[in-house]
Amino acid sequence: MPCVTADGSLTEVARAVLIALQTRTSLEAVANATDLPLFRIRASVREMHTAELLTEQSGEYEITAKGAETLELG
Amino acid sequence: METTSEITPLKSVTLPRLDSQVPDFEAMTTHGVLRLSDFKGSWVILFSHPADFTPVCTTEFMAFAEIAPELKKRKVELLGLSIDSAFSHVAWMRNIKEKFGVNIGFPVIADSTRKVASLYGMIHPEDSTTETSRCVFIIDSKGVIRTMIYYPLSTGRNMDEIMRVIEALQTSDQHGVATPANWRPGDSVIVPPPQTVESAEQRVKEGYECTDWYFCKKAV
Repeated sequence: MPCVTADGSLTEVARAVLIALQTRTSLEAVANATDLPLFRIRASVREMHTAELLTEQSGEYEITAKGAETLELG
Repeated sequence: METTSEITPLKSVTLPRLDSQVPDFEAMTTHGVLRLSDFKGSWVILFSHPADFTPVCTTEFMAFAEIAPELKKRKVELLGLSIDSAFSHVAWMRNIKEKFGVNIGFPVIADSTRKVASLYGMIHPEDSTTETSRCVFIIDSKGVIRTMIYYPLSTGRNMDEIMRVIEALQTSDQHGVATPANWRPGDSVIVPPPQTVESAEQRVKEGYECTDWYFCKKAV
């Protein structure tokens, strides 16, 4: 899973995105909040959505319980 | 999107066309797996280089990094590509940072299977059968190819021209005009020529800088 590093911890981008998605919001808002380019956000969200760390509803995303647990574990 | 480890035969090379919709792809880059569609809403300069750790390419990468902040202001992202591995790209980026003090902040595709290079016709066998040529594709925010520039292996790209083309295209889109030879931001632009006799007669009365009915300019 590319959103985690070799030791299983979240990448910096994945961590920043998960923190920004503690409340449901759009990816454009995440890009503004994190100062990361939108293309990086989209790629990271795609991976984390597949890994069920995020859920999507009407184009907005939010962290899941699994995502919150992963974030807490680092 | 599936990836393949097979090298795509050169016979299947296709060339993209101006004003066509770009084909999407997914590829490993120095920023992880990216799709071209991840850039939707931004302009993209997709460019290929022959090989990592070569002098002309090194100067080009530093030059692209130098114009990156100006491109960013115009909502343009850079996306490089060669057939080298991601490990090679990373090592080269680190080397450029160490030896020249330049940070390469944009992603670079590791196209070792030539999947993307074949899709975009970046390998020109008469130039090199193994390496990608110096291709530049300027793609607009709607995913349409607006400009294609090809340079041979021996000749490094001109960033002034790439910036100029971006500014010309964005000015044309914004104002519905064309730009003359050697146009620079601030210069007058070309008003599209009239298509009918009636509009040709009207044109000279419209207050543009007209040399003749078909040749009118205005400031933007």
